[in-house]
Amino acid sequence: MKTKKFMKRIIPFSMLAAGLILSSCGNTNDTTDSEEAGNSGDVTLDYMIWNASGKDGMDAIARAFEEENPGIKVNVQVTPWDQYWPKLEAAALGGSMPDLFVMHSQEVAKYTEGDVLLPLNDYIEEADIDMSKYPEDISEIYLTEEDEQLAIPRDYDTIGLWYNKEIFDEAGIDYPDETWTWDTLLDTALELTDEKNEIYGMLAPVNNQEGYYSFLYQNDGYVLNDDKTESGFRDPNTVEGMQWYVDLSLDHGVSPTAAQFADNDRMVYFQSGRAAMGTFGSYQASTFVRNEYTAEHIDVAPLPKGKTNATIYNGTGNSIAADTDHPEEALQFLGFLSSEEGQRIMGEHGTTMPSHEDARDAYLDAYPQYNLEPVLIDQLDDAVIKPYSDKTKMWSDVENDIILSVFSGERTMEEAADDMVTGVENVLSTE
Amino acid sequence: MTEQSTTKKFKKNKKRKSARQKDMIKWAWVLIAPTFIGLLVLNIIPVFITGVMSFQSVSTFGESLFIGFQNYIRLFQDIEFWSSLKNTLLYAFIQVPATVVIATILAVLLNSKMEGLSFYRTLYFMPMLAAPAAVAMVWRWLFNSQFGLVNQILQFFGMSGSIQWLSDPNVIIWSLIIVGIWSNIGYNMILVLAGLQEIPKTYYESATLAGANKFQQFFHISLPLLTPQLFFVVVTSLITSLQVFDLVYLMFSNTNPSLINVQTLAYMFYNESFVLGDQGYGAAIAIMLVILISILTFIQLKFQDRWVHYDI
Repeated sequence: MKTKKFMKRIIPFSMLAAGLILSSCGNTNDTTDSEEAGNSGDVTLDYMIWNASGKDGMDAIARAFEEENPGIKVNVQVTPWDQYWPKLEAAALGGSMPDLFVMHSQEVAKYTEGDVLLPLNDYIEEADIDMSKYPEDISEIYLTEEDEQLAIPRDYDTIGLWYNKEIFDEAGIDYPDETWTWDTLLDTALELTDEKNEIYGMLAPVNNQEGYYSFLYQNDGYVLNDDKTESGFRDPNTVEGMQWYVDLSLDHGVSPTAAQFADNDRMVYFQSGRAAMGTFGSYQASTFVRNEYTAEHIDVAPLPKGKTNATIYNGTGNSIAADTDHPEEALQFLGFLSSEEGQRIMGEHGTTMPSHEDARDAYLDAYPQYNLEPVLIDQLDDAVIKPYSDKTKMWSDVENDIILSVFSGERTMEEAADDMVTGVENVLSTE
Repeated sequence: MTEQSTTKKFKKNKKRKSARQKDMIKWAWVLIAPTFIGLLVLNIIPVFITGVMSFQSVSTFGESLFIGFQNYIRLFQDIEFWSSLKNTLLYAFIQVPATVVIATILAVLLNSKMEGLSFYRTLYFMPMLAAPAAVAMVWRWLFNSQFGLVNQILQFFGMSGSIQWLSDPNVIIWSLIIVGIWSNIGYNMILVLAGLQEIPKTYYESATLAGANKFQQFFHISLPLLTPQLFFVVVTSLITSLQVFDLVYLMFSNTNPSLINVQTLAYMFYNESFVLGDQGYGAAIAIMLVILISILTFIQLKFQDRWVHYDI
């Protein structure tokens, strides 16, 4: 009898508990208080970033800042991208945000409501920060409709055509350069694809920022119109550009298919020397240089030209929590992060490309093995900011679902275009 | 609950509580407080908040608006919801019976006297100790269509060996089920094993004397006496399997063309709430899942008398 009673009691409970755990998950809130070392008057600022390989550079900036500003300590915390946003959101709701943190175009819209971020306009004026030193498109991402500047640009990135020198050398083909067109890319990819040894000429995965977006713009297409009310898939150029990209795997077989990428992602192909070319963000330099194979055997060139030249570019910014206990010190550190000096340290450590115009050469010098200048500097003239709106993630998700059916060969982009337009514009209409 | 029944007993036995008893009650509350408060704050309150949120259009930092049943209406029109529901049920109804049957067989085998017994027990329990992230990564490699061990073995036995475990829309859910079975066998086996060891040896001795063979002993002694454990195992496994999330999240990325054929309700909930930031819609999914789990568990509790023997 004892067991029965036990069972009867325990089961409804475990059921309830199990059901509830689900609803409460994801809201873990790591409180790392900015401890004040009381008596001495020392202030500790927390600065949260998501890029682990960038910690060295950020630490170096923090030390340099501490030296110049005795009495202020900076503690750099790394939270990986996937947990970064749930954590920041929970911290914002719970009033325990780090003092400073990195902001991204895809997330900032949410933070424009409810006074979560400290408006920086007054400080920019007071400290005489020259905003023209940073790419205008990137400052604009963090500018609200009320003209509040919620972040100062930290870095930027463009997309480049990374290639495997070894595969090119063996085939006796010239490396990609700025003269390349779509035809050159396809012809070379066809030539370098070696089915027997499973080497692919090109990598064309389901990836918007580092993959098909640039090609859409190169074909005179677009993703969102200027008002952010219409989907670019209304335009036949967009549809055609997308189809061309998908056909690299579906029709020409120069790239693994979306299904094959489910087994091995694009990095696996590239880092194991089984792909001759691939489009990757410039920020992957720090990943490539840490891999034994890609540190040596690869280089980068600008993207090929379609109907026109284009690359997607994007950039993060540094923000301050509106409820920070030390707004003055936080602003001081933000000023340093954004200054030529701070940005130069970030560049020297190869963290990411500094947004500050005068500090960019430091980053290029940090990667002598890769020819990044044409990619990061020359391409900037034709760069298009990564499309964003208030609900970027929502319509990107719709876009992703529909594009998967094109990548799997279920239907052509032309057949899927109507669904795409309806789906994306449904989201846009709720903004 | 315990607290209330104790109080009732006190009331029955003596109409008035002595000072000592009052003191005891006070201490009882103090002692359960840590657990009670934890449950309240972390589980019970969130469930009500989730319920409320499912009727709202939730804005993270701004004002949330009540929108009535709109989230639910949208849910019932969402193809993704129905396929997630189908995947979840398929996973649960195949993974749970398979796990329980295999776990029972293993428990019986490991209940005998044999050499290296504790080695085997440890071996089967190991998957329980491995972190889900590690499990998913290793299985991803095993299932790799080109270099994976699974396809290599199939090839060795003369089969085609070109199964796209991680991307074929018809196969993908089976990959998830296989990993689910593998990770859950160990824990269930331990529970069944504990049940087996409670059965008095004398039953088997008299059965042997009466001429019953091992199989007859299993079906007529072990199995009936194991039903309480099996019931517990089935009910709890079903609850956990309906909430499967980690394996889906870790094994399949959102660029996988067949994700729709493998994503579960819990995964969809996570994606809507925390990736896409639509917490009202996510809450509606969570509530549907709770309702589903409640119905299935209620049915099981209702029908347990038909097959569960608590005493002889």
